[in-house]
Amino acid sequence: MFLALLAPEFLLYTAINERINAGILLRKALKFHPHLAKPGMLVGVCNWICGGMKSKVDVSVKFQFRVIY
Amino acid sequence: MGGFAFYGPFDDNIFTAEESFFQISANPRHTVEVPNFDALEYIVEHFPHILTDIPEEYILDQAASSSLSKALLIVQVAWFCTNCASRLFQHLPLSLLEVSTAAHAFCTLITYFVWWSKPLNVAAPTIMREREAREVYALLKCSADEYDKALEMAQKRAAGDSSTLAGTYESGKIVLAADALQHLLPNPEQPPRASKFRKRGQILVPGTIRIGLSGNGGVVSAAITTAISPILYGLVHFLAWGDRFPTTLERLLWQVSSLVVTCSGLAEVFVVAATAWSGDSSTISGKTISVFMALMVTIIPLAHILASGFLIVESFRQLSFLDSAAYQLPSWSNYWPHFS
Repeated sequence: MFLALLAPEFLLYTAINERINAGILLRKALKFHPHLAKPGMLVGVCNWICGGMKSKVDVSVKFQFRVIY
Repeated sequence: MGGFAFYGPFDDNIFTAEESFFQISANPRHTVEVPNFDALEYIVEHFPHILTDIPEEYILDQAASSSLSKALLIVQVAWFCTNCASRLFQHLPLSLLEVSTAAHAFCTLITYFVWWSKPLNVAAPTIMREREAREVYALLKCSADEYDKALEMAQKRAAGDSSTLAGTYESGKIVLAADALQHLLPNPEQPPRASKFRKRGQILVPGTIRIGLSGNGGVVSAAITTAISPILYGLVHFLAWGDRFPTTLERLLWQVSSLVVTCSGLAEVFVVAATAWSGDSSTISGKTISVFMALMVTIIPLAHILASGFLIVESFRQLSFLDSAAYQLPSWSNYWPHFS
């Protein structure tokens, strides 16, 4: 709280830095555990719009939506 | 904040390989230690199975803030930014306090955007408590000598040499580290030497600053972050460049302070890069350059703090010298739903 008032640029620095580090860890984790991959927001929206597409188990993506998220 | 943690510290007098989790957690001498980024990166690469499998709902359940509260705050902050913009469009003067608040609001908006998915104030870490986690913890806490001993023990065990099991006494830490190293044979990678741990009290401090900065990508990303964040904060203060000030000197100081705050991150990155590239420091000119660079690395953050402090103090001081137009309200930003 005080940090946000006195030095918002430092809080911004830690936030961006943390986000970059999280991305690095995520890439590393997905390299060893590709099954943990989860569609991001944009991909999720695309999947929802293209719900008519058939998945591997022949179930529409639209019906899998609530299970995935 | 939150994150994964080990029970620690590692002490041979109170720890043995066979000690159960309940004995560890009941002992008040044991504290929680949080691995830093390099250690966590090492764990993810070599021992991902020790990371506790926790659902997303569990983390969100511990969070002290919801998306709704974040959204309300963002709407309010965005209203303030719109209010400032509408004042500029209607040629109404912006007070320095409004400019400073707008700079804070702008940084807050970006921070909230970056941290949108991050749960707020998760105080309790997720403890990695299985035996394999203790082994990895022992490996990360090993000194260089202890690591060599553990590696030798692991290699002998892998070769079927049982003399190490019933032979000379080895501390519990080395035995556990050898158990961990056995999973990585024949070519184990040494854990990062800079792998420090944070105490429980430091868990709530935001930010995971990398110690090692391994690889060019880490250095470049840290440099860009260091340069960009003061620029984003400082640029907003230029809105008051031609504003009315109590004295001419204060106007000059405000302009200089805005420049210092904006360029300090960039200058710091430049100085650090120049120090790294200056090369040989054995000659007299090399030594002079390194001393100058060391001075600059100290002076620039101090100048940033002083300039930033002046911007805040001056923004309050100017309130006594506002002209009447500063009290006029802009017309169309009031249509934005907000708390007032």
